[in-house]
Amino acid sequence: MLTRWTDLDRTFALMDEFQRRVNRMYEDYEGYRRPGMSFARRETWPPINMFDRNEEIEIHALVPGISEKDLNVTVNQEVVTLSGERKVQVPEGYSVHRQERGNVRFSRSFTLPCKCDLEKVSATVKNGVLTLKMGKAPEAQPRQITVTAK
Amino acid sequence: MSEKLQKFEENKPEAVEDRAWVAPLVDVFENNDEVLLVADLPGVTQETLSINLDKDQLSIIGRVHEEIVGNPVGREYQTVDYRRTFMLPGGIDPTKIAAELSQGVLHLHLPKSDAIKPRQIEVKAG
Repeated sequence: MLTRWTDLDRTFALMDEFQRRVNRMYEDYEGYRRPGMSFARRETWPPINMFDRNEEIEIHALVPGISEKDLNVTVNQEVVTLSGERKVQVPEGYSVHRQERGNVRFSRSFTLPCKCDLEKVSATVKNGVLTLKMGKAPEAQPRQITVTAK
Repeated sequence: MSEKLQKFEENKPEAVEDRAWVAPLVDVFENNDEVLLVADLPGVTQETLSINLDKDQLSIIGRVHEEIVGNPVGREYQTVDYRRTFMLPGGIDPTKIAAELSQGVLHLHLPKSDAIKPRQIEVKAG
């Protein structure tokens, strides 16, 4: 471990500073493969965010153009299955210039981080976003543990 | 070299609202009377959607209200804005453009006619 300032040390410090500044420039793009690229074109659809809200798990899924009739949500203790279908119809009498939104038929399953109480499940669709709330089973609820002095 | 870096950082334009954005997927259809544009904008509401027409450039900007409701366990998408700009063919009547937003999908009707002027367009909820 170098304990005094030598010329070599100062050079590395400069490079570290340079690295830090370059990293800061790219912070805006963190979490993206490429800015501007839509995540609606991924292999597994729909894109899903899952949040842990202490007493319940909340899942958001982007499902534009899909109504509640076309969506199926099945919950089985720890596994959630989301399936559905959307047919994109070319309106009568129109010609197609560009078609990027395709027909989708999807089925996705994922495991929750804990068991959930099947009585406390709710699912709503609004503005093309599905919000799925699942209350955690009583044994999975967070608990405060009192610390006793010995 | 560090002085040059410092100068670069100080002179970098300040990003006032630096939300990442993504181009929404869009279908474009046409018949004799109008051009129909359908865009997937999940999470965008009537209040956060703005459609602007400037001569022959049509811009769609939809903002999503961010809601972090807990500890993220897994994230496959970030909260982003949706932005896309199109060059319109000549002959669209800007006064008759109609927009409907429902289930996170925007239907934009662009009736064909003469004269092109810059306009703000009202959005109706579907």
